[in-house]
Amino acid sequence: MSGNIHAPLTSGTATMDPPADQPQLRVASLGKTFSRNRKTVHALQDVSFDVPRGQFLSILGPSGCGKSTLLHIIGGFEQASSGSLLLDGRPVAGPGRDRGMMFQQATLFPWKTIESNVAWPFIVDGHKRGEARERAHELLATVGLSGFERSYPAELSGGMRQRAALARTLGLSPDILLMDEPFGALDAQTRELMQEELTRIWEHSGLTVIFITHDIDEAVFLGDRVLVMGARPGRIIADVDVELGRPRGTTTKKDPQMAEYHSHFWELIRQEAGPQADRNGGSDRS
Amino acid sequence: MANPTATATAAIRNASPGPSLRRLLGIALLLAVWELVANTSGTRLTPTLREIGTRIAFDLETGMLWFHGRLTLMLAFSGLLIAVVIGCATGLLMARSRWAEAMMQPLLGATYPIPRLALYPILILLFGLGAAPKVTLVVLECLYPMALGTYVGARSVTKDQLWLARNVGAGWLRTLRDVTLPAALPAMLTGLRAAAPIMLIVIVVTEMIGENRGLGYMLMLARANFEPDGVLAVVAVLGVLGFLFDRLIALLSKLLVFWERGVRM
Repeated sequence: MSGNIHAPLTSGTATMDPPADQPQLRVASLGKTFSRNRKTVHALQDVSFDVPRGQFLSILGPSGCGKSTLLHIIGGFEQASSGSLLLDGRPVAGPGRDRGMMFQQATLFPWKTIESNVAWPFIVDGHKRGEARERAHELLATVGLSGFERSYPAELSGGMRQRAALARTLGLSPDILLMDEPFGALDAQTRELMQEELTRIWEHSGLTVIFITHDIDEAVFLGDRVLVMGARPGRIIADVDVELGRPRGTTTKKDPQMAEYHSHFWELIRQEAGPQADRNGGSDRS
Repeated sequence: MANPTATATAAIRNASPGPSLRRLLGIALLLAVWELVANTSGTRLTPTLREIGTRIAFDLETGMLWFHGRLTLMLAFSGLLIAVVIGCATGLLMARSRWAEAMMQPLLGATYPIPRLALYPILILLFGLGAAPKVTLVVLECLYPMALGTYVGARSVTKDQLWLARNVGAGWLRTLRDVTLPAALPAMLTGLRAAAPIMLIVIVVTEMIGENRGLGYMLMLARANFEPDGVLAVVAVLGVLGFLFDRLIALLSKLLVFWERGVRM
């Protein structure tokens, strides 16, 4: 990975970082099967990978490859059938605030104002109302939604709603951000703006992100690393570091390397899909 | 701020004449037809609007309407309140527990078409004459719309909303209060709106049988004395009450379910 700056050896400050050799998240031989119409479906098979702290990991794959299931398992919402999942060395049991989940839909409560939606996790956590509102205002400013605190979700555009959802998720102070195609339902222009916005916010945050998408350019533009998944059974078919510099922005998208990555991943997906590529009408949106 | 949906809805509303005006127009038409029939038939069975109005004024003056109406409404609302509590609890339970759902659904489905008014004689035998069998019958009738409304409403909570609550660390009580109940509220109010007229019908019918007070009794007394204007005075009062309750619940929905645009009651 490029842009990785190592601390000079002379720095004598003691840090509380965990041992550097331990990945933040370790997924080992993860499998997920379920039965549908008395048939066993292998949603995931032997999925293994490590995620170091602070990495932006894109998981790229066609619909039905189990990438969302994988994210749901990491989030603790679903259980794996086999394999193990270690977070900072400890097995994952159920959802937790250390893994902030962002859904495909913004999932804001329509009966709450934007401010109250973002403040809700703080209220649940036992903060006082005024304090929760203050925190919500700060977070809304971070995602560029100042001035819309008193609006209701129905009054905002899809992009603005996802910004609010991002603010709410950041409010959990998670170690890992789990994003399940959060820009998939947005129009093309809004999606590009949101990608740049997310990059900007992430580059200042030091968060670990696992970002699910079926959009090649999105995966490459955002990610330090891209895992490509294949379907039936869902498994990892490629693990590629993205050697684009940081910070990334509008100019990154014009970088000739972007096009190279695009054709590389497209080739992988085309091979994986094989001659039946068009049978389910599942062409990639790129 | 740009909000195409709301703007479009507003435009449609402004384009047509006031909806409340149209509502009143239907009622005015019914009254006009009645008046026409009353004036041309020439029998005492169809008193004119003026005669009915005079009778209502008379019943108000003597305190009859107030005395009997108060009793009727007290029993009716007691029954409705109990039905709301039991119905909401049942509906929530059905939406949250597969066991409860599997058990309750066939039960509700099988007992829904039974005319529960037919149970009234049995209820009288069980509880004796008086308030208890009446309230019980109101509860039995109003339970269905409340339970089904709450069930449908609570089922409308999305998986993502529940996962979000789990992610945030909200307990079941917090989730019920902050997520499930608000999401279920629109359908619960629709259930209440269906229950309110049923409540009036049932309570009045029970008062028509072996009772010596209440609006149903007032109606039967006027019938026994062969006073069609007295019967119709009670009928008109019931109509007004039903209309008022309906508007009240509609107003309540508008205030409480403000986020559901385009849904007008």
